Amino acid sequence: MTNDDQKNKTTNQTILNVSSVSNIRNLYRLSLLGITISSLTFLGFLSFLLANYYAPYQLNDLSRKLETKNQSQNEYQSNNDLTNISDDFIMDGLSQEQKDVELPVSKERFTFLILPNEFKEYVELKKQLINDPDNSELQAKLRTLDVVLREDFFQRRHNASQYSFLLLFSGVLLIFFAKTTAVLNRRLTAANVQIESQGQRRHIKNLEQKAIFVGIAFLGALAIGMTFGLWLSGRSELETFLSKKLDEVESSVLTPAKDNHLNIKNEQQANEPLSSPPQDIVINEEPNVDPRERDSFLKIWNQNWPTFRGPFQCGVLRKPSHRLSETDLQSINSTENQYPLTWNIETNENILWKSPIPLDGHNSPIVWGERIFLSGANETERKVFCFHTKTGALIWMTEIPVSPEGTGPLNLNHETGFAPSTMVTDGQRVYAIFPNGDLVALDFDGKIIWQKGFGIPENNYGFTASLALWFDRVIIQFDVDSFKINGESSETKETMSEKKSESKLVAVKGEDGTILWETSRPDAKGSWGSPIVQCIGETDQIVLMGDPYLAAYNPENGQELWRYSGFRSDVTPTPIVVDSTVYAVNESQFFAALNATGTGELAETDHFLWKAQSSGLPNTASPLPFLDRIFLLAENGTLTGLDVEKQESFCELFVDEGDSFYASPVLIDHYIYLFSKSSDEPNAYIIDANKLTPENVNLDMLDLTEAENALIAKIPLAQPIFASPTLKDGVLVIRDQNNLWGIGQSQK
Amino acid sequence: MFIKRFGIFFVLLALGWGLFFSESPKGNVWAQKGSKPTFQIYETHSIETALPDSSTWLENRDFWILSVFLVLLLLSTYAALYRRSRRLIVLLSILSIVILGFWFHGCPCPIGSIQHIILGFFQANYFVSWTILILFLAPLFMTLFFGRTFCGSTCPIGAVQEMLALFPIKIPDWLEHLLGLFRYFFLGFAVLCVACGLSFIICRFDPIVCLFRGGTGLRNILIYSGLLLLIGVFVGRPYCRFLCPFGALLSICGQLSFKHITVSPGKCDQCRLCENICPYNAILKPTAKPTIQERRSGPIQLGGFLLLMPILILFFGYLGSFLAFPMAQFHPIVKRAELVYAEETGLVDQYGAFDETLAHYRSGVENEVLYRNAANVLRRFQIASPLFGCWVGFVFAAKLISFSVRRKRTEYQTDSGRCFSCGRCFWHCPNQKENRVFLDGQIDFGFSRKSK
Repeated sequence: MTNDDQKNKTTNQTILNVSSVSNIRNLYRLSLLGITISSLTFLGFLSFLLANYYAPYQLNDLSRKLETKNQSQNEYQSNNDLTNISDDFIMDGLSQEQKDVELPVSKERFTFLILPNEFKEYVELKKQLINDPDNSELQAKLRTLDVVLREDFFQRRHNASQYSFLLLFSGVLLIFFAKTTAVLNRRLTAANVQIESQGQRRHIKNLEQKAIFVGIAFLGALAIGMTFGLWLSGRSELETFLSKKLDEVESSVLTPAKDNHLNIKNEQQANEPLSSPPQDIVINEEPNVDPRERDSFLKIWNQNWPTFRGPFQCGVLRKPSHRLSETDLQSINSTENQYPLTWNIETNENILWKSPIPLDGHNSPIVWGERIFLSGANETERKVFCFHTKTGALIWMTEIPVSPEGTGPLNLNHETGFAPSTMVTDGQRVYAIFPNGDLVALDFDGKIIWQKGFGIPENNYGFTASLALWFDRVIIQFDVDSFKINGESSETKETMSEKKSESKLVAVKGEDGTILWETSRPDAKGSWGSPIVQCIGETDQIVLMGDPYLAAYNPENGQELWRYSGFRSDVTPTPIVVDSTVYAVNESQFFAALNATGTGELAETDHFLWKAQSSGLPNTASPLPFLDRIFLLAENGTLTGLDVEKQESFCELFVDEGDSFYASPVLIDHYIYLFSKSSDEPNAYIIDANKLTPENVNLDMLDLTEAENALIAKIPLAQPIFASPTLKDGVLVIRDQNNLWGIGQSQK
Repeated sequence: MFIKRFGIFFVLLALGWGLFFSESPKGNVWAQKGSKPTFQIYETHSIETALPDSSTWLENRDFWILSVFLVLLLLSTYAALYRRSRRLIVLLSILSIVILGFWFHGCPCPIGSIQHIILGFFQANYFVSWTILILFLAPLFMTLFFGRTFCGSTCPIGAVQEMLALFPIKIPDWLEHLLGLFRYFFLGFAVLCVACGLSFIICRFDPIVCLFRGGTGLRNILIYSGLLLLIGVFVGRPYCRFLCPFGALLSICGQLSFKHITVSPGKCDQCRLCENICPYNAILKPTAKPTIQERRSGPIQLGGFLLLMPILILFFGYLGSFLAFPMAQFHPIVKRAELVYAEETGLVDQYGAFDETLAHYRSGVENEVLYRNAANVLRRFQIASPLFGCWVGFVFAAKLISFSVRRKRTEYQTDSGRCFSCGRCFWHCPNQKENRVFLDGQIDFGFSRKSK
């Protein structure tokens, strides 16, 4: 075979006949058709994909869909995998209230991959909830909205994934047909007709070089501009501040970091011996409380009634001060009264609700958000109750078991009752203490988180001190003679002979009940007042009345700050703080005012400001401040007015002959509310404090009726009141022996 | 002969590979489970566990990923250099997309492995797994010997772009050079971010991985990905050419490669048919003979740029120092410190106004500790940012210098640094054996030009 033949043979094998060419033509046409169809399907799936994300969110429809959707799977899968969310799984987490919640119509339109937490409605609800964290309605709304948005988000993602695969498939087909068409339509390469000369090539290369140099210069200028732009926009004080910190870090001895926390010890500090705490203070932990978080907490604290006598622990809604601003004065004297000035238990006028309390107690209700908490007990059982502020409905009640340390007989005065101590709450947990020394913490759903038994405190009338709270810890004033644990008294011969008591001030961590510190008060005898925690000057202090001294302690470590020795005998009324002055009173002695910014013993010092005597000093009721006056309510009904500026009493008036008082009064705007405990005809009295001024009344007056227009109302009550009232959002909550009353202005 | 050698080599490799993974797991320091790739901006931690028992080694995901990857890499090299078959390259690209892309979701990959390697340098307790190491080193190794065959059909990201380059247009060469600088900047920036504990930005801004994961991902990344793919239809392989940081390393290795694909299988006939066909500007024309003036000015220019290099490095290094704090502000610790500081100094009225500050206060960590941690982070950026600036200056200077170096070419060659070994040019070269069929003019579809 010749070369030509070989060549022909080769080429002959590659020559296509006419029918093959027509087949290829048909193939070409088919591939063009394929391109058309796959382009259309591609565009179709693309529009499905985009339409998947473009849809107004009808949140209520989604919510209803969730309820009616069939159950498929039990397991919730991750968002990378397509979700088959079990409705039960999601809906079980929602209460009926939450399922029934009405969701807003979403304003979102083009919802292209907006994450659930970026939705405007979600963000708005979240902001509202931050400002009102205990609003259960908001919580329900947010939870439901969250579930609905997530379900919808993952469903859309699931759809997107499916459409994407279809899109991909059609894209692949499109590419396949396009490539086929390109191959079938392949043209042989044609070289440039023009051949570049050497000079042209050089010229082109030079141009390219210049272009690149210019380009690099441009990029360099761009880099410089962007750098300066970023630098200028990013400048802040923080940079200087951090640079200083860096210098400190570098000049300090660094110890290994743990969990990204640096423990930096200054060399000097490292060489100093650690000081040991005083003998009478046991400190288990010195957690550092961030003052910023404290301030944030206080803002919410002040909006509630979370402890005995309210957030300021003196029976008022606003922070008391002898020098109020014009705005505050106007607000106080405003004619628009949020709280009612009258009510009628017969006609239910201004009675919002009335709820029976299963167990009696003399502790005052506390409120956080829309929840009222109080405790009740008898010889055999103790319970904590939670009511709704607006409706009075009993949300839950939890029985508190007796701890081993608290088992044993109780010596209680009949007027003390089995649940005299007012509870306290920090917004996350509620705390209650009983006369057997059992301290318990519950969450807002009534579940017991922890319980601690201190042993049965022993004193004359029984343990009655209410709880106080400072930030993350509960403060308990145990002014007792001894503790009895398992029937055995902790009193020893030595303590008896030395006349030392087992009194102590204890701080317990709210989170888990660990004792943060205990400060012994061996020279303090039994008393029945309650500690208060207030900011005096720039520091927080625990102030408490005791026998034989009024004292203040540092809430962080329990160290005594100052004391005023002078009060003796039965000490019950709780002191109050106005500005930097502590006001304290004892029935059998006097009323005193002290500047609480001192240290050490304040008697015989400039910190002791003044004292006053009166025939009507209170037995149990705590003082009530109003502007430049302090009011005291004695058990026999004597209302004493003290002028802070003149430092003397200016009136002593009988509220009502025959009526007696236990509960501390409260102040709403310029009205004083008193509640009597007479067994015959208990009454509530509303007195206009603006009419009780040194100009209007004097010591010669005996009766409140002599003070012109001072008595606004005298309202019969159903039963005697021992517990101090509680105020929240226009609802006056009072507790009598059997019922809890919600009094407020009825809706017109 | 080559096939025999290749076959033997491949069998040996497969045996060794199986042994590698099937060895007893207990105490086998060679068998380490790969670190889970993470997109978090917090510190990552490696997982050190021995492989499961030999009976379950087949279930090891790393084994399959590496096996497929290495097989594809070897086959890509074979297809590009020895077989010179565009069809085989396309087929391997499709396999890469399907297996490495959709099956394994494109992760881990050599591009992202850079970050793991860098983190391994800067963080003592970060262990770089063998999988990552092999994924990083194998393409570099192959590129040093055979050119950028990894980019041709092994890399699923490149393969997707290759398939999408339907109507590629040539962009001017000078623009190609300028835009090509960005991948070096991106590489330096990625190293900076990893070294300072910021983020795995290469993975974060991977344009194709969201496609491999069913079209899901963050909104902005999807938009960016869509745009890039759309651009890729007209401007071939935009990510590979202008953004890929691993491509920057491969480009350097490619220029040093021992062997790489050529347009013509044999000697170039200078037919100029391939002159304008490469959409990636990877075919270099023969150079013009320099004039006397050029011969004189060339070395001066080169000398000038060499002298300029340290000035540029120092200048941009100094410029980079201004970026320290702005960059540090992206770090979560510094961000948190900024917000806490704003609340502390009263710039923001409310404490706990932000989720970050609220979480910080609840964590119980002192503000002082936070500030010191932030200061430490700032220190890292204060060191790294000038170095990044120096890198930018170096890249500029290197580009200027590369233009001043005179290169002599007498035939059409592939730019081994730029060429992706895609094989598009094979069809256009008349020296390619199969193309002879067309050139003999015996096939006429009726709508293509005949040629002799």
